[in-house]
Amino acid sequence: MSNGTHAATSGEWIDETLLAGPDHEVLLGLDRPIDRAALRGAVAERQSLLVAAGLRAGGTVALRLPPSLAFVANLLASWRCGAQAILIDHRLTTAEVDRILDRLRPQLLVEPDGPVSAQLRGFVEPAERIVPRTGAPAESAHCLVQFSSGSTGPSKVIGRTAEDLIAETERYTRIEDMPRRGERLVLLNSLIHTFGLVGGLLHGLHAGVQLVLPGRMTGGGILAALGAGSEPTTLFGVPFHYELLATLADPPPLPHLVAAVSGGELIRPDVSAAFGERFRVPVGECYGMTETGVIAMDVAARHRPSAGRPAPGVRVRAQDGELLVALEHSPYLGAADPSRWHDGWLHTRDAAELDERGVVTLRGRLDSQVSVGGLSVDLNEVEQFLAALPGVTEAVVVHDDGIEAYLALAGTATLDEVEAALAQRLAPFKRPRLLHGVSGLPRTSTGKRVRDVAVLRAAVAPARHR
Amino acid sequence: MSADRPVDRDTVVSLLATFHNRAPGAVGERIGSLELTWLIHAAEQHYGICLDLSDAQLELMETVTGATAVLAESIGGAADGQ
Repeated sequence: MSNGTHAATSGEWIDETLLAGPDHEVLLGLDRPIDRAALRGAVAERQSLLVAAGLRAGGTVALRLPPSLAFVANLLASWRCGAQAILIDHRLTTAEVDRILDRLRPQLLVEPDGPVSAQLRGFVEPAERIVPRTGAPAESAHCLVQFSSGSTGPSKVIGRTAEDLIAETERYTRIEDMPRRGERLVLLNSLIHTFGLVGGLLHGLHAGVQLVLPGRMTGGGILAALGAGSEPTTLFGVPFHYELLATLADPPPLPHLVAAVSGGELIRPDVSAAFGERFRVPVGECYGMTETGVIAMDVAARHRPSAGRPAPGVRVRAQDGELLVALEHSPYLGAADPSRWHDGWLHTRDAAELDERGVVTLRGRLDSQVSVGGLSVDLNEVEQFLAALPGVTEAVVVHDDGIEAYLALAGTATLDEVEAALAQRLAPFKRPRLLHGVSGLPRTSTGKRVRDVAVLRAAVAPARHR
Repeated sequence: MSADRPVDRDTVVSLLATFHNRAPGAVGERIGSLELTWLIHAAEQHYGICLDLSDAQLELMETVTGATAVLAESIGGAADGQ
């Protein structure tokens, strides 16, 4: 399929890859179990509504829905129509959504029919409405349009083709220790980002794994979801969720919990260790990007702290310390930095090493390598050094006309004490020129630490010195 | 911080401070969405209860002042204990 001018995408792959299987197999666990027959019905109903609103093969529809049966059914219905689905985070403000709609010009918008608060909830069930817009058909063969998390700068617009999604969905079934038919997957990740969407939802539908979204996203709510079934259960979440669960002093035994995987950003070793101690299940790692989907995954944490071997069918190589991933076409829609993808390789901008077994070990963002007076400094190394100091709970180090660190401090720790520790233990050229105290590091809606200097500056708290 | 003590501003700040093990003085007035999840989780653990809060109550909890009022009303305490 060409990645350039539009080529209509058949929606048959939905029935073949995602909706094929026994009618009464439970696929979704929301406030009630939803089996395949019920999901097929919900998809058919939404497809009728979308077609009645004018959606055709090659058309465009933006989905601005919280995690819900409505989201799943509208997404599959859009694809079944052969249309391009644009996923918009339901937590964005109206102004942010308007900017996206003006930029991408979908023909339809599906959104809740009234204000919805999904705060603290793993799912909600809003009544939705279809809003026709003056938009345009798809300009590419991508069936899915997503936005990168924006943790390292402005969000990029990223397209995925049906072939790409099918390949990734099948790839997950070949990853060792992934949940299989008859098992449960409790998903805490966002359904509109790649790990939750493909590794959670699409894998679950394809493999016959019941996808469970907790009613409440507190520790108690997550425990209730984990303990609600007797089938082998796997947990997917981001580091924040594991940090939250690790605070549970005396959690009940969860004999059916067989695996736990963190995605989104690297989990701190102390958090994964604390979770493992509480729940007797190590935290595995999933490394991927919106542009590529899963790159490497280690469900059973056999290779911790490495991210594991590349997923089956994923080709990677290290070049000048950077991890490159084979990708046939550029994933970017619209203007994009040409250095990010060329000649069939995507530059991840992640510093990584591959050992002789092919295991990927991430060493932080490549743009963390800076030159100070001709000497190379790895900002990630400085960041890890700072985060390991007593009294420092979180650190982000950036280069903005010099090395600067943004730190969250514990207890009575002060920036002066941090500076003194740095002076004793870190070479002068690596030391941050400025230390800023923040009450908490800014994070994206999915919990990733933000590295944008303007956002970090805005978060700076009054300095705490001696 | 005692679980028997009524909820006041100091309680809320103390619970928020457990997020990344911060000093209470490092807790700001504004509560982000992750912090709010943490706060409710921490309050449930601390008081051994399940908080069934409405959307309107959750919206009020975007600040420490608002969160103190909501938790004092839900758990019991002195909302104006600033």
